[in-house]
Amino acid sequence: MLFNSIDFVVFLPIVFILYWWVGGNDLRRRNLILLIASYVFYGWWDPRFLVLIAFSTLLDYFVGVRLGSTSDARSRKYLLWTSLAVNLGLLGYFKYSNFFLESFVDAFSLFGQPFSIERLNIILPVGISFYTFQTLSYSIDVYRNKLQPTKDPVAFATYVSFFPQLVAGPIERAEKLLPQFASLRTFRYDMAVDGARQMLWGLFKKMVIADNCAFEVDRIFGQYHTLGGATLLLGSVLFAFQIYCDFSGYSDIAIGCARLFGFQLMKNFAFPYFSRDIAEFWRRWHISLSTWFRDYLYVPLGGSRGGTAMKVRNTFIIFIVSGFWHGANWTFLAWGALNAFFFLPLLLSGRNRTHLGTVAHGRWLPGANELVRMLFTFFLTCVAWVFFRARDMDQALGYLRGMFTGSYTEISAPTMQSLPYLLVFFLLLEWAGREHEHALERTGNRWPRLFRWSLHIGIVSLIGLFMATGETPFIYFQF
Amino acid sequence: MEMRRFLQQFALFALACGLLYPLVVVAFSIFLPLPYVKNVKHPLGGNGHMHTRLLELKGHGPVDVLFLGSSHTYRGFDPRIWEQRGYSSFNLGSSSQSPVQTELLVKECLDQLQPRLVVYEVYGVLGNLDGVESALDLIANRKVDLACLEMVLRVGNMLAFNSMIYGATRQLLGVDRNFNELRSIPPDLYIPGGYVEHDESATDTSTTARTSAGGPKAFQWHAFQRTLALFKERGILAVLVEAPTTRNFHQELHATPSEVDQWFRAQPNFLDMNGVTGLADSTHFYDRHHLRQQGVILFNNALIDSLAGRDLLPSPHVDARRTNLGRSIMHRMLVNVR
Repeated sequence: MLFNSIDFVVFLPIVFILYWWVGGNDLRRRNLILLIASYVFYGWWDPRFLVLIAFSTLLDYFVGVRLGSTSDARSRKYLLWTSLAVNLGLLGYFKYSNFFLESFVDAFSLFGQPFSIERLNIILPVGISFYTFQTLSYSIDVYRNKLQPTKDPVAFATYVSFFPQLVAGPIERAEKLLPQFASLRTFRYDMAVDGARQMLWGLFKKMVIADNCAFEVDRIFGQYHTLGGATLLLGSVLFAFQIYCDFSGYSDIAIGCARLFGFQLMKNFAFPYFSRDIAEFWRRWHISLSTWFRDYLYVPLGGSRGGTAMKVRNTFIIFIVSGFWHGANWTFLAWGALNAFFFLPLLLSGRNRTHLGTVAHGRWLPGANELVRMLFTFFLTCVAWVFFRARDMDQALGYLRGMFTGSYTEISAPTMQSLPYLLVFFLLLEWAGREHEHALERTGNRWPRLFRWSLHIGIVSLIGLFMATGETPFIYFQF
Repeated sequence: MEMRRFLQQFALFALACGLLYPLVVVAFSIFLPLPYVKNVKHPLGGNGHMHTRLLELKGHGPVDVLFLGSSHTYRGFDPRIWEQRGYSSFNLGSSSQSPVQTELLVKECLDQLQPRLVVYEVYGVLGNLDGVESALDLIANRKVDLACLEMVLRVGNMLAFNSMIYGATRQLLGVDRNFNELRSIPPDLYIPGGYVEHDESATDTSTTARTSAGGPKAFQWHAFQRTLALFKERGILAVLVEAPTTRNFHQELHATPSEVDQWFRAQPNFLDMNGVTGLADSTHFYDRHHLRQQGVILFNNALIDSLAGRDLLPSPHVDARRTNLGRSIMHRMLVNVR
């Protein structure tokens, strides 16, 4: 079920009513309602997917219970490896089988032994990368004794499948989200209103900005070899907006939706395009995944401790694995590696934590230096996004060649004439709200209700007037 | 208490949105050039002379044959040829007409036209059409009323919804009252009876066939079935006709036969006119799926013969040979064919 669908418009109020009224003050009943709702939400795509998530849930629940009941180091290690092997094995099978098969064939072809293998007919279950990482964090934390294993299977199953963040995150940590299922949530007006506001902004980002940019991006990437450098640069800039608004829009809707049910999910994006260097960008982009890799991969590998060689190795590993997490394609690996190249100079010069605060804190406008840094960082991300968007390496390299060597004397303007104005509106609101949880958290909050509501009704109207009207799934579902 | 307050505020906000949204739509549509407002369109006249067709329909009397369907219909069924063969007819085809629009039009004109035979032009993806293009055509060229609202709600598309708000406002203000559509908009020429003749010089080979292997959209399929049921209820014979297209286009269209397509083919009153009329792709089509006038003549005559052969035609009540108009048209057609 898509957030931007009529199905969800009907589904959400029904679950809301069932949860707060039928659920009453019975914690288990409320969790059960959420669990059923989450399975309905997920099964809406394909009921067969439910078998997989139920299996993962049961496995990690019992692994957790067993880890809690034994102190034998060998048994504990065995249990952890079982969880890792099965979960990553399933992820690997569904997501990476064809990639490895094709790479294997390509490698043999290089040595003059060409042969072909038929692709496996595998359907990638929606959101498998997200819930696999979420459930793994539970097993690892219990193994590390950072978390007491839960004995409530319903609470655990709801934690794994919680519908607002099930298919595209934020990837929640068990230690933060699981306890919320163990305590009775009370309805808070302020929290619910802010959640609704965040959902509104998420819908605007997805339906107006991302979907309309997608149309232009598809057009430009589809005929990149015939277009000049300026148009290709425009294409990569528009893709930067598309991917950000698509993914952070989903996160906003997910976080806002969870707040309607009294849950607090982690912030996933912190206005990353206002970053002054790549290190800051990565602290602000897909925070739940970056911190997951930091805690469960980078730190165990040694992090930034040790010599230069180790720092370089760990940086490359984390960025390349992050790229590979996104998709089974060499382009994602290249995207990860390129970001590592951008990041390394900062790490090696010890300047990777220079910009920890928000740009232009307490000011309306950035300074010239900040502006130049932001634009340069944005440009670097746009270059890297070309790999993320491209169909294959040939297209990515051809596109970049055209972008850097093609003509800048003419540009193929977006076919949607109002898109530039919508982007300006979007950027203004994001800038105004950059120091908060989301763009609309404080914007207009001190205004009289008339003006505040006018802004919100204006955003609703812009969605109605400019939304893409076909079905437009979220990009990150494929990951 | 907090929940009650939340629900009250939410309901109030929803109400305010509901009341103000139409005003915003109208304001944007009036004060900005329409191409800037993505989800509002007002194709007055449209691509297929719908404005003129509906104006003509208003004063039209009963007919023997009613044609329904997409651009294949209003560009493919020429009432002059049918008149020559003794049948009065009206062509109510329109651009990308989908079953929900057909249903609306049929309900509106059936009492007036009292057709004895309906020729309903169908093709495999008919049930998969979103119905938006045709909805916009009707909103701009027909009155916006409850039937129109019902159609827009069935289509369930924001572009259609906004355009209806804008169309209703224009109607209320009488903006389009004096609109006079030209009969000749090269390369098209409107012919009385709802037909649009296409100038033969233009050619376009870029169109690709829309295909769909899946099942039909429920709202379209139900509308289609309701329309057929209405014909049955009124005792009107309806034949389903697949209009001819070029060979490649036809192959593309049927590469993955849809459920609807299979359903059509199982009907006793279905006629696929592809490959039975001696039409040549290069000479009888001006693009991949629309006929030139020479092609239209061949196709219509073949269809009439085919219907007659199956005893599906009502008895003629117009003796076209007596009319001068009919004679001159027939003469011109024969010259063209030669």
